[in-house]
Amino acid sequence: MGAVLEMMWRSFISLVVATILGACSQLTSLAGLGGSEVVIGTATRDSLQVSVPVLGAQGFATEAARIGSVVTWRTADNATFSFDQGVIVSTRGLGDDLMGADATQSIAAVNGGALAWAPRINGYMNGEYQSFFMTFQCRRSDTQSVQTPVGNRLVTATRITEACINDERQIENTYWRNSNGLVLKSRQWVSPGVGYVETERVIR
Amino acid sequence: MRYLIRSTLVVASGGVFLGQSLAEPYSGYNTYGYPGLIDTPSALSRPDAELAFTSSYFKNQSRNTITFQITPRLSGSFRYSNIENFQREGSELFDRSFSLQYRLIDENPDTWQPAVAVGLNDFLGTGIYSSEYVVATKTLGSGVRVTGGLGWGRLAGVGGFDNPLGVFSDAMKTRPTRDFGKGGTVEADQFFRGNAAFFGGIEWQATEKLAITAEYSSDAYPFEDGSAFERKSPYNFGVSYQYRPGITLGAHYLYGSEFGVQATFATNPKSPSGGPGIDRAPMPVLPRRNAASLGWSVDSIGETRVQNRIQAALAQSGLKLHGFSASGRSIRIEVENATYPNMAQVVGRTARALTHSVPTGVDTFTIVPVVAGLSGAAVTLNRSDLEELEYTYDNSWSSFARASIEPDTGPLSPISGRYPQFEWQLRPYLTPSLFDPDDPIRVDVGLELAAKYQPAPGFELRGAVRKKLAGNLDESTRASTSVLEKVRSDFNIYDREGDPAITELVGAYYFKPGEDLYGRVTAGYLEPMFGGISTELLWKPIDSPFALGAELNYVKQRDFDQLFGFRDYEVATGHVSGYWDMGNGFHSQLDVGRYLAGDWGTTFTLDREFKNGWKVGAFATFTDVSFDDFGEGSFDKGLRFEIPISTVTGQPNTDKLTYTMRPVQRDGGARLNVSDRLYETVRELHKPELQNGWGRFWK
Repeated sequence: MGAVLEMMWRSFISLVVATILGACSQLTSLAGLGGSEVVIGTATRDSLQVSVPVLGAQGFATEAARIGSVVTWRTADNATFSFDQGVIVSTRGLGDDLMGADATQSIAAVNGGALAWAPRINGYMNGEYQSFFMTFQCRRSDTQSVQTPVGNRLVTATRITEACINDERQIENTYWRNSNGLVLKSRQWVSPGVGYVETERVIR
Repeated sequence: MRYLIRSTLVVASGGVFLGQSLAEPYSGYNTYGYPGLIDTPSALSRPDAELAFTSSYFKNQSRNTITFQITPRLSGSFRYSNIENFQREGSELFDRSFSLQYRLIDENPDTWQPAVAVGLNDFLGTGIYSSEYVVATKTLGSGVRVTGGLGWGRLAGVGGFDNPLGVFSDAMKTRPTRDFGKGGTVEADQFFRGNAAFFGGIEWQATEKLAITAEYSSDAYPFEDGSAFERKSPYNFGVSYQYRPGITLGAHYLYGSEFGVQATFATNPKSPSGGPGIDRAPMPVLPRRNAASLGWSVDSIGETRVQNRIQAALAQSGLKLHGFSASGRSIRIEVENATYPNMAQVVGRTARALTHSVPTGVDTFTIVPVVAGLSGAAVTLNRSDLEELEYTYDNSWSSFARASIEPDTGPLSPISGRYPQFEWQLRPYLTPSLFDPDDPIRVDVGLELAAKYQPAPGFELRGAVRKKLAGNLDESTRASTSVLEKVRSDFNIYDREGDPAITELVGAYYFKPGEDLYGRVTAGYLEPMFGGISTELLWKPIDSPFALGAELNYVKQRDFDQLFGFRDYEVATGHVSGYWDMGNGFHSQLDVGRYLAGDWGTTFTLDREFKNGWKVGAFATFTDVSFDDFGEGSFDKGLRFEIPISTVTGQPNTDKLTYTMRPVQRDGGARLNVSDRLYETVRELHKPELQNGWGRFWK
């Protein structure tokens, strides 16, 4: 209001703070992801335990939307994780979010296919708010039947490992799938800033 | 900017940008803050768009420089220096200077071909740092880089020889003395004239963060040697250490006699520290097959209930419903934003909120962002596209391609309860003032109480009062020496007496008189120094890179105490303005008209604009006031910066830090500071800006 030409103290302070924090600002703001306000005992529905080691964040998410085969889970402090048949296709609220993906190849890997290399495309946004894409060549590299802890039970699952490469990086996604085709646990790469996301279904 | 020199004291740093390493084809910054070695130039540039603040000090001399890499090849610098014992003991000089460096030829790593650049230093005004150079830089193996160049002017002080350009004309052999008058004018008749001399150096990247440099400087320090310091040798030695990305520290041993230090803080508007932003997640799209509870049609549910639901869903998204109308299978929503940095995100969040609140029989959403009772574009989206595209990898551009963006033709249909509306806020402010020789940095801080009342669409009453809490702007006692009407140069009296001050108290009306036309009438206490009436008409089609505006004002100078009284001076002032979005991120503006002191003339403005909203620009105004009458600086000019706070913090926010920096504030070429000019208001509602920001549609 009438102050376009003048710098406001509030703006000044935020700039100073941001300058000092620099790249750390993502971390501080995400420290509350999940947080103590989510008590697992009060969950009445299935939930998803999510952790993002690079951001030092973890918490529980509940189902927020379902569209086609994509399910979106939301944490208490409003970060979302969307999975298509267990494969991560989108995140929000993490900063360097995965804006969208063509994960056809990863989905095929989880469902027992994808033995040959084929592309996966991830969409991102840069600091100038422009879209950019990262493509990988991916294939299923390993499948094992394993006993794995889920919650406080030991369950039998198929552990599927997917290898993806491009000119800059090599990533490995791991999915633990039960006999009904449900991904019980996973460790999936999201973006350079977010790194891997680890998920585990908590079934009531 | 109203006052002498107002500056942000902060250079945002951090974020992701390239460091200073010989592995990359970038130079460092020298003591003058432009691309170079220690005290001499280099042929390499800095990364495109880098904005850096360099502060250097050695015996009795400090230099503070802002450098912007305007294009990948061209950089520009503005410098404020302080020299004690300049020419003689006991004297003190404050000097402003500009530099330009242009890289003509790129280095070819596969052949002998070096990078070659040409540069001009201190080509305006008094010219104590005036020099020109041609320089070449070549990277050898193992992190070693050599630079050699030919300098004129100050860079031909040592080892000078007859100008090789003398083969073209004997006139090149002598460098005319500078008749700088009031300063500020380009002294082109000196360029590359007089003796020339060689300079050069070698840089070694010892570790990833540490570089060691030795150079031979042809600068004789003619005005400083013997008084400010003893220049004993042409050899300089330095180390520079990249403390963290964006912060480089340096130490030097200069001219065989003194140690010096310097620090550079750099940021890049393309990759500010906020990155893509850590906005809280939006509502996911709710598909119609899961939304049966919303009902089938607006008629069957009732408009009021639908409107209440929309209002609630928008409120949850940080947005406000301004207007609402439904017809059959379409719905039209007017939305107001106080949360997000761009309108594409406002449209995207609104669309998702609508999937949670609008009956399933409605399959077309038309979203109209509204600012100050004005609308620009109407964005029409298919509900099925939202459902289909949300998680696809190129959801941004596929949704843009399928959106229809047309001029909003309908009159606004505000919901009941939107008007009248009263808002107020109390917030702190900070006003710096720079470059007064008596005290180069002054600051006031205080509280501002601002209020706004909107009785009906397009009508606004608003005002702001400031109360200073602390500061020293009132210590400025320099009386204006202006021979023109003192329309700006009495700024320090305003600073001293305006406590408390009414900085604005106006009534305003915004309207759309016709297709692609926007109008404004603002009356009252328009700004701290002037009150009166201001009218404006703007023509801007929603998808055009051009706009044309006309502004006519009749104003009277306000009393120094900035309360309700006026002084005697009245003036009719106004401009015709052309705006051109030139593409590739450059934007120009031309204003022709009558300025506050009654002078007639033209302002040229060129900005580099980034799609996240950062702007870095320069302007110059030439009027029929003679350079002598204008006084110091000869004509009005300056730099301007605009930084959306959200790009720095990463948190969604509509605040911007806007700052105009003038080397000196005089009375010629001064424009009225109306706070609500139409172009910037309307622009964000139009297609090019929506397109620039569309990456945030799904954020």
